[in-house]
Amino acid sequence: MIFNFYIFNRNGKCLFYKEWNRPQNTLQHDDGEEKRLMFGMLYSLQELVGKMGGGDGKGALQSFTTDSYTLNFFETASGLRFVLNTDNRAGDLTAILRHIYGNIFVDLVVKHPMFEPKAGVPLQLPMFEEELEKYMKSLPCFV
Amino acid sequence: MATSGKQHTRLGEQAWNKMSKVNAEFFALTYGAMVMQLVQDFEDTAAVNAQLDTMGYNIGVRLIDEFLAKSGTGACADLRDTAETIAKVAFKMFLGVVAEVANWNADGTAFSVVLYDNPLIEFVELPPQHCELLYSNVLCGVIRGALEMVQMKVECRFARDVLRGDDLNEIRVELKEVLAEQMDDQYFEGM
Repeated sequence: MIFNFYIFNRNGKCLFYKEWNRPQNTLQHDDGEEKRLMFGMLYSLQELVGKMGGGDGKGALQSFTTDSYTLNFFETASGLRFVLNTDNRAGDLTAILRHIYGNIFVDLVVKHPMFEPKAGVPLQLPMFEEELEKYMKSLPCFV
Repeated sequence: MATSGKQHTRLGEQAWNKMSKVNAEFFALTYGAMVMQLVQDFEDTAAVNAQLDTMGYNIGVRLIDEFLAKSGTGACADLRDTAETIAKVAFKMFLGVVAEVANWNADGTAFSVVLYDNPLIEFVELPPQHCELLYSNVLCGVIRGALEMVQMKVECRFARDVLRGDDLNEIRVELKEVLAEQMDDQYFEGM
């Protein structure tokens, strides 16, 4: 089951958030705080994972799993970070995040005249949302 | 390095095959019409050159994501890798031509992209009153914009231009600074 989805830019601004299944949300009262915490955690985790792995460590973090969910992570060289939370039965979703980036994000966001790559403002592009929605719902792990 | 050069060429071919194509003459003529319009609007050649660079920059900051996504290249290991990727993969993918990397400086912080075949300048001749026009300056802007999005601040200029009587096109790229990650203000609260 797919829970929710975030896109962050390099500076940690949340460009996009969408949730499909989220029965319990303890951070409901403060939307911004949750996104800040999410990005902050990923940032620290990436640093640590990189240092523990030696080398430059970039691209090392792909996912982590807790008792109740799996967080799937994909970072592009241009600094975009895609985060997809699912239940623990969804399997490896790297290819799906790459598809969202390469086929949906590039075509419907990057090529959209209203999108400003450096501004870091939340996306309000109905076509992108529609297409993402359609794609997510077509996935076998959606429900 | 020979093997990695080949790998870049192969990646370039693959990316090129994936891209949707437009007619090369149509492309060259459209670009020409746009440059003409700029020349009429600005009169001053330096201003036209700057405008082309800015337009290129705005293209570059978008182009990078399409490039990364469709070429399948990840983060480059070093500037040499970056240079080869620009010349062999990016130029092939978007313009259908392969460029060469040459003229490294001693520090390894500057290189030239040499373009024997520039699809933008087909049918073009510079009239004498515009001999200072950097007709393809948009390319410099694209490289600058795209590299800035992967945290490399570069300076980019046309060093040699076939239209101005040189025997080949040479774009000089100079790395000025590797940008540090800059967190948004919201992460500095209470510090």
